[in-house]
Amino acid sequence: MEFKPKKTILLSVYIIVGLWIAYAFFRTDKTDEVVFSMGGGTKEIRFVKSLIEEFEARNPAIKVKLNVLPAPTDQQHHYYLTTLGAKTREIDVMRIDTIWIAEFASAGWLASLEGCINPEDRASFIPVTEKTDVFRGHLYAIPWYAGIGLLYYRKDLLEKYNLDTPHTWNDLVKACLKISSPEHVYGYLWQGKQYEGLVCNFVEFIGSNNGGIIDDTGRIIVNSAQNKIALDFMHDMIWKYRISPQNTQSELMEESSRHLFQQGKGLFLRNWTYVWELCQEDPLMKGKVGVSLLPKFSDGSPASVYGGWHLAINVHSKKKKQAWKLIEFLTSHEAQKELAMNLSWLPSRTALYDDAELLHKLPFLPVAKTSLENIQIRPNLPYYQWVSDVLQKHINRVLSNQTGSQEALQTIQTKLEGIKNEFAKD
Amino acid sequence: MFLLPGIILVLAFNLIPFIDTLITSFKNAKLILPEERFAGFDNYQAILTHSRFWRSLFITLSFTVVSISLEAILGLCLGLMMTQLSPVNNFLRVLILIPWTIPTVVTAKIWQWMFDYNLGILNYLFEVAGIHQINWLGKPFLAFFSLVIADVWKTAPFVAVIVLAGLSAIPQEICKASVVDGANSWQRFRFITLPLLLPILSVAILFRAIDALRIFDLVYVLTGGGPGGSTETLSVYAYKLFFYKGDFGQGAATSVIILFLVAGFGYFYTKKTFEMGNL
Repeated sequence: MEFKPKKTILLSVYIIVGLWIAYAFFRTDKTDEVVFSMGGGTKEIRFVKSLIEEFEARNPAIKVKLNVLPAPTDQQHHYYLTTLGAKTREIDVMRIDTIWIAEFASAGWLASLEGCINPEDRASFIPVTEKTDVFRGHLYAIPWYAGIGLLYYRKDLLEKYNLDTPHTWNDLVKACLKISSPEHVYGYLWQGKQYEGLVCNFVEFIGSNNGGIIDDTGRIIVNSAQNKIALDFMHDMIWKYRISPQNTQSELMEESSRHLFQQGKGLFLRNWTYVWELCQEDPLMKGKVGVSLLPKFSDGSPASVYGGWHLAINVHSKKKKQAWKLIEFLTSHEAQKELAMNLSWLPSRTALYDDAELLHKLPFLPVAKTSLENIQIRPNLPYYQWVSDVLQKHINRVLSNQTGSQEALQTIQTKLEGIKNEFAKD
Repeated sequence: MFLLPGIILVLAFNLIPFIDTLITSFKNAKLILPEERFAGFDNYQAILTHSRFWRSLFITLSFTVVSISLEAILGLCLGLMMTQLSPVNNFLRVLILIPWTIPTVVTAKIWQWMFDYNLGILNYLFEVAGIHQINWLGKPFLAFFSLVIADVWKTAPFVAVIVLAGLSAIPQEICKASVVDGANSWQRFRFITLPLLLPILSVAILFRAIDALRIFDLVYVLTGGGPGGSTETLSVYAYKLFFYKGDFGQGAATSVIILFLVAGFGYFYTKKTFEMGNL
């Protein structure tokens, strides 16, 4: 037989590829690794890794692999949509956002945790858990840490002008008008770009005027007089009082507003709890920053939005028992204390808010505790992303002067009713 | 047997995903519904009757027309300038090409910093010059214009390089003959260079148009479709349907529409230019 080098090479390539495909098909999960998938900053990931090592030391039979996702929230959402949508078994435990729980549970991607947790333990979590982590009567996730909106202020500047921390939005505007031009700082920094953060800010503004998006019976109540006052106020802070930067509606997100504040260019800042730690580490800001409840309208009460992160189990996971063990450990009293001490994560267990050591480390804990009493949640709906999309777009149109507030609220009301009816049909 | 790997690759990476998308576009496949159902043309009907689709179509088309016109003119000028350079100045040619070699997402991030209201260099220069600061990404028209600037900056060099290649293919004899005949430099450009350059320029425009009709990364990073949805192109709309709302059916239908739009444009464009004898 004549030797044909070309043919021989090609044939061997086919054989190798064939064997490889066969291997991929028939290979079994060789390890007992529990895959824990989460996204976050470098510091957070590093600390969670050390916690996981502690867990492995206590449970030698279980190995945990940390699957690190990109930090931006919408990219994590994108990742879960593609992987869980393809019914992956490669993820066991995942860290998910409050607003995804109903969506993922409705898609049938999360394992019910009803049988896992005992009632006594369940009751020791912050009460809002029963609203956000439960979908159609089943518990699908455990809150790992809470996120709430807080008002950061420049203590030194308020003292210099002999002003108190503002309790109402009116006080805040007055303080801004008095201080910002002599001190060359922006008055109030908040998040107005067209993204999820804008919805959080909106929910807080309307919540502090007794407004809302959807009431307890599921009725849509966006188009209300209270909401109009709050939305007009958001608009006026940029365009009438000019106490918020002119690019609030185009560029201000959590980080961009924090940068401005930390560079000393802002008097007040609305942001999550992580900013506290960063201000303490910054020599420019250390000792100059105070934290308080967000202000309210004269008839309302201070309202913070709930933005926690939760742990859930993939319904297709083959290691649900080990996965639950990991969740139990990560949400335990002591792990949460460690996380709060090292990463300033707000604990999701009520008892920790009175822990003396934590109170020393995080002086805003009492403020956070009060905020949790009147916490605002974003609508807990499987189609929340649709609702958010409408809200983001039309509120942002008001802030960028493309439409009036009355017209925008009317449009949102109609669109949300349309979405509700569409899903009632399905 | 030698063709097989190629066929498998095409099947696995082009045809099967395309057919799968096509099938999904006829289904009511929302993430939050436990099962998918056949829905006929419902998705297409829903999209085509939705003002948001037409608005993003209009934005996409305007973006394509405006940015490509600018790129063609600027690219042509750059290309002509580059032929004037002596070969020693190859360094400069490489320099001009740099924007084209940078990934679009990086380009978008660079421009995001330049356009930034507080920290951006553009507003810094405006401030130094005593002009009022501009909120580049904050107003619908300006945001659109900013996208065009960033896109032109990135892709005009691409057109320039193609023009340069076309120019070097024009026989020197014709130019020399026309000089003998007494043509001035404008006449030489208008009646010799431009007609001979047109075929290759139309190829460049075709490439650019196909890219511009699908523009995604630049918009996604720079404006996210804002403010108030005023820069939302078709691809960004499809992305939001897919990965934000989890409506795979309508997302797939939008993708199919984009495909037919781009393919249809490519077909008619090549046919027209072929008839005109440019290709």
